[in-house]
Amino acid sequence: MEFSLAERPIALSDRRWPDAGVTRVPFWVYTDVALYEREQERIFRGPSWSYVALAAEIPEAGDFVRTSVGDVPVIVTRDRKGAVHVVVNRCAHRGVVVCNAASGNATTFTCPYHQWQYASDGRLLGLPFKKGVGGHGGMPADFDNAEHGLQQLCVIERNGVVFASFDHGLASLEEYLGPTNLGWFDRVFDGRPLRVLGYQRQTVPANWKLMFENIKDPYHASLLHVFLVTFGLFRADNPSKTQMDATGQHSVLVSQRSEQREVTGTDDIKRVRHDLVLRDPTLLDPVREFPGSATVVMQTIWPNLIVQQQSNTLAMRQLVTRSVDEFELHWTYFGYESDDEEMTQRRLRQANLMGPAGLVSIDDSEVMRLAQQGAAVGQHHEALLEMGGADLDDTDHMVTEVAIRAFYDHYRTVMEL
Amino acid sequence: MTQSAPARSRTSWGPLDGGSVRELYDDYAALLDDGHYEAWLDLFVAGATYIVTARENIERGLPLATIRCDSRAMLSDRVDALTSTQFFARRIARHVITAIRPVGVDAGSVDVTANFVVFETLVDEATRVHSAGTYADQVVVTDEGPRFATKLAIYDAPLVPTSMIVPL
Ligand SMILES: [Fe+2]
Repeated sequence: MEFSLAERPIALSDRRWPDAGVTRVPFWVYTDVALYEREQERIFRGPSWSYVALAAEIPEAGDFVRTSVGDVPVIVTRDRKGAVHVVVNRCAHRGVVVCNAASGNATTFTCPYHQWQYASDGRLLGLPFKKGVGGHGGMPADFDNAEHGLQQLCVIERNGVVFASFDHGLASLEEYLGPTNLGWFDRVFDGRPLRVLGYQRQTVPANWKLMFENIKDPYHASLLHVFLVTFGLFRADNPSKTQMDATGQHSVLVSQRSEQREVTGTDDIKRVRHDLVLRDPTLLDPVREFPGSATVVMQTIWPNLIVQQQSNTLAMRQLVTRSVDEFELHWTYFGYESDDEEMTQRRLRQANLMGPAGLVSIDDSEVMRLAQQGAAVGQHHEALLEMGGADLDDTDHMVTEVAIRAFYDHYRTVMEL
Repeated sequence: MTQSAPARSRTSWGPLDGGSVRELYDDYAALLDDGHYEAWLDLFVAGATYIVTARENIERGLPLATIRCDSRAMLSDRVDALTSTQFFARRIARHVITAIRPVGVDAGSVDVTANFVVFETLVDEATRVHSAGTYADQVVVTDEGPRFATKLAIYDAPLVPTSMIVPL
């Protein structure tokens, strides 16, 4: 561990990205508290569409769910007329959390402290003793309810997926995603009504960017995830590709399943366990449900969403930042209203692959914890991203770190680093 | 979810002996915590279901689980993953199981509820509470003694700290 009594915290203004560019990532991006605050301001409260909910979670008038945009708590509501709103869950009076329930149905929200009451869209409807009591007290005569509502975010919905932004002048979601990534998004969200199957949630003691790096990294999947390669769900020699939008902020990893088989072509895939067979094969009985040959599509949407399609398991993985060295991962699993019981059961069984107890994704949460530990004691060092070269272009294989490079290329622009 | 019966109207153990059920839960905790997974699997009947889920899914009527095994064979596949394919930092788990109570009786089975707390110790960290919650199980009579036909572990906190490596 590098440490000396003379060492002082380095100011963000003195931070300098390595000269080699995005083939290097300095470890302080995972540990610098001032940088985290700048990320909250410029990324999560800046010009970005954060995923907040599926419309199917709040189907009826008055339904609401609580979530966060960056580390700001918000409530996603549906008003009496059916419109969806996203408001900051913080009373305009003294900052108390207004809504305590994780979900529910309410057409007004009342702060428990002084009973200020808000509408679904955040408007302040009223407050006790506004005109005083018996001629005493009361708010100033010029107090205007319209100026003291819950802060409202801009809301956009596409095919049942709700996004919100603190920036009210942002481009449409279609323009934001770009044509290629919009096409992949619409592949899963094709307008069919969704059915929410349930939630898995976990805290990960790592910087949030490590989660994006993980999903944008097909190189690790065939090496770390022995379960995946053993059962053919993901392998370095399966046909696959990586596609970014023009900015590099969004990307998609596409691959296709193969049967459990002998390794051909390369000796590098050593981790297949030929001795393993499933005692209950119904654990993995994927059926084709989307057009085309892709069986795995992992899409990362800046700044807080991973859309997961691995075989028949569909989930939104929402990142909620908590501090520079901790984030939460909220998994919302879903299917379609039109699924039959057999398909629903298949999705529920395949959910065993993912989440905090996932046969596959346990590997990732554990590695991210170790990555954070390494970064914390490597402040003057940097990560290397040269697999597949130094470019930022789409690829048709998975032996690459290109999507991580593209992510940091965009990140550096937004963060002015 | 099976509700606890009020204390004053305690259900009997019916076809089971209360002491042997206590032993079943003690064995469950000890075998899991010591990593004797094959012996632990033997505490389930072949057609047993084993489900771990967050309380919020139960309360919202949502079917998703964090671990869902529809058979002992599927649970055995999970043990294979745990012992041979998954990567995780070494840790020690301690299951503490209390308040084991019968809440419903049938000819050859008893519905049982219990509380659990699981402590987790990673080699380089202080011991922490990993999870707390309740079991809502069905225990059946077999020639080998009482065995689980259903185990439903409902953990209270929605957020799992990092990973759930050892089953609850
Ligand atoms: Fe992974």
